[in-house]
Amino acid sequence: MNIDPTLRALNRFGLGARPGEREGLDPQRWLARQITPAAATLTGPRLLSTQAILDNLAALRAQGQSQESRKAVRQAGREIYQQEMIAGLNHAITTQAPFAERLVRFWSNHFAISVQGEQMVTFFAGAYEREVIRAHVFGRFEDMVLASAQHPAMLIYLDQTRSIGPNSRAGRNNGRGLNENYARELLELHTLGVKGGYDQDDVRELALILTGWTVGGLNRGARSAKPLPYAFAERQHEPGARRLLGQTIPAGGEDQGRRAISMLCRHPSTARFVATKLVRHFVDDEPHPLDVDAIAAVFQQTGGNLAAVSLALLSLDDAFYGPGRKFRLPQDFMIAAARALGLRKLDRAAVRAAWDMRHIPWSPSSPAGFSDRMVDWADPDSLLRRADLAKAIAKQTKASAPAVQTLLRDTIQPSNPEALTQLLRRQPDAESQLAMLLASPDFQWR
Amino acid sequence: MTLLNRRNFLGSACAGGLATTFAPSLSFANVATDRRFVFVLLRGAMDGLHAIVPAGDPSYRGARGRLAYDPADLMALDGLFGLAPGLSPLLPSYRSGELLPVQGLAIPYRTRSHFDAQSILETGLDKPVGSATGWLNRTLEVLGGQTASGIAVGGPLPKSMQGRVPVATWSPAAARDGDDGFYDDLAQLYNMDPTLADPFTAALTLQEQAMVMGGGTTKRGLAQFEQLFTATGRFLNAPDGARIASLEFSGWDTHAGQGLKDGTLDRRLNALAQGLLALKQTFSADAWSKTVVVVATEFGRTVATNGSGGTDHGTGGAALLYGGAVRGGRVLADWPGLAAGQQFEGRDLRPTLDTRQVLKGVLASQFDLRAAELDRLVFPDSQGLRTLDGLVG
Repeated sequence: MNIDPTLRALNRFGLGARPGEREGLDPQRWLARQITPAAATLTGPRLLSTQAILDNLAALRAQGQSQESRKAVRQAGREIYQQEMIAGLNHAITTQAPFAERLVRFWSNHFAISVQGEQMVTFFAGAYEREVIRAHVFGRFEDMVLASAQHPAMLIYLDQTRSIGPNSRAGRNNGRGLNENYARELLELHTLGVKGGYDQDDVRELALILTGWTVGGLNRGARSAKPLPYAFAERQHEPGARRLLGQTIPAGGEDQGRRAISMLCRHPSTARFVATKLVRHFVDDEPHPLDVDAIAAVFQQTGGNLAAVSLALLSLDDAFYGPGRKFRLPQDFMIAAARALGLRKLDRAAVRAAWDMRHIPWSPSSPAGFSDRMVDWADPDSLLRRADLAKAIAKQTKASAPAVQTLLRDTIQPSNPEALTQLLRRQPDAESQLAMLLASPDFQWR
Repeated sequence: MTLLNRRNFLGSACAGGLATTFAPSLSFANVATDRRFVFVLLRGAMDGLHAIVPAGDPSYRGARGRLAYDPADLMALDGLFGLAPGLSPLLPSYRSGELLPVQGLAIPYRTRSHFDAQSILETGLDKPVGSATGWLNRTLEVLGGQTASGIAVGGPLPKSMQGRVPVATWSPAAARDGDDGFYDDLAQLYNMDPTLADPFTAALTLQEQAMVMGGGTTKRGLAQFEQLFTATGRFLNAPDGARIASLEFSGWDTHAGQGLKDGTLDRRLNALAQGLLALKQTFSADAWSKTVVVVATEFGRTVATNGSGGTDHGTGGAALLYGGAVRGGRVLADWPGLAAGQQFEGRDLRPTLDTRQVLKGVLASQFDLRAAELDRLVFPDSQGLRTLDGLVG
């Protein structure tokens, strides 16, 4: 079978081909043009900034700690979360820059936060993605790490706000102590990777370095202070110089943390770890070492310039011409189906479908984010759920839907065209034909 | 197969690497055991003191407050404990030795966070490590990594089942009745996909096995219990079916309006009891005699009733062991007492048993696991923790 690089561009690097899109498409140019900060932005009248959310939250909390008002807070969080999910999905099915969007989704999952286990994250998940991920997706990796380290979603999700230097003023006063959660994941999941060459002492030292990094106006003592997405609380910061990865980082308050993060981002393990994940995401569940080398080299040489790294992905021939397949994750399947059918709007039913397929935005079960491997998603129940969703989506489109022949030509490259055509012909009506095509195994891969 | 042969077989299966696809037609083929194990997770912290009620403790009434049961409402188990009224359908099972209530157990790490505690209960570790695999999956791995010998019923793949061994999944969906043609046609396409053929075939087989009670349409609320337990029973009872199943139910986080007899929590306990009975009914006598169900939760709740007629996050909790292979008919507890000085941190039931001791005890007898496998692979670094024996047999 001759692999069609335009479909690879639209499906492997994008969010799913739309009818007519492949005609005359120059795959590399089309993708490269999307590598611009403007392509990664998302705005909307109801999409609030972190600061605005914090202010609203403070107002809600000022109403007291009764059961009623706690309930109101929970409800407000759920509403923001729901709105953000729907806005994100609707953007994904309509965007003209799906490659930029894929990178946003990749990095958002790399620096994963989750509403599971931490209700406060419902407030901040969408704003986090806009202000931390989208803002830096074609900027510097280090700036993205720093932005995530200073955002309430991450600070709260990974307990950084609870981490107090044992010898800091606050630590000596109230006996509360260090929480290593964020420091560990920063090393293990965000930068060096699990076998990246650090040990438990490094985790502890990094945790001590980062004490004081917290959300502004969050702590009891500072209740009157204006809430800020991030503040450095000197009184919680562990004094003194620290040893991290064999180097000494002198005492320096907040700057000690910045220097540590900078050091982690420049570590060769980080380049390798990030490159491996990118190649797994765009090329193959089992990344080829040469592909990883190529991406890691660009990452390292450019000091983590993510525009350059994104561009380098487009020179991986394996992705455009290789026999390997990538399995669409459930949300990506839903988005691709909606794009193929030309839907403009998804609603709460889409969120429910994502739930049924266990792939709900900003809710992985661990800080490692959602798996990017087929084996974790192709379980029996999930496959049937995809077929159910294909039927539901096909039902929703009615007269406006494109002909199944158009989708057959423009959205997939069937592995067995004859068998597929035959089965499509056997379906009783146009709706079943569309459903069958979307539910077909060919449509699950990209 | 003799024990020695089985060992050899398992050894070679491991050496050959772990399977990464699902077994054809979900003949859970190569399952080297006919013993069954079900892990039921009650998410949200079921109030153990409200289920296996220590009404005979002299401090019970005073310490518990408004949520203390009238002894007349309880089914006495021994001089100390009584079964909550909602659990009374299980009383005959207790008397026939198929029910073993456990009191005063806890995970090894002190946290009152649902998320951390569930994570620890499911990963089988002694501290929260977000990215770890689950002990049920590692059990499957030790058993030889046979494909699809595990199944998660009802919800997303729980952390306990995540890991290197592929696990089947099933949940009731909107009725697919009358659509057989569509799914059968689709199966023809999936059969041509070398990777997806097996899981898709498995999905249809499971769907067929579970075609009970309304064709698998999602039941809401308390009706879920019976539906999911029945489906689980069908999967496990099949001669070539799964051997290890997980299922879970939420709704146990009773901070308010917990109630007494026929109250909110008691009705939920009753649905659980009815579900367990429904599970038993799907089994053949032979299969049931080889089955152990463990019902567990992430932690217990405060001894005292709170200001909203509920209870808050606590420490020591309760579990149920149920099944034809269980040596029950007694309550397993090293009872610490409920008097003020006996409570943990002045508010919770003091834990006297590590949940892993119970789980290790069950797995050791049920699957004939060696100490080294249990202490290092299934529950890492737990060699210092005594495995309870005599739970199963």
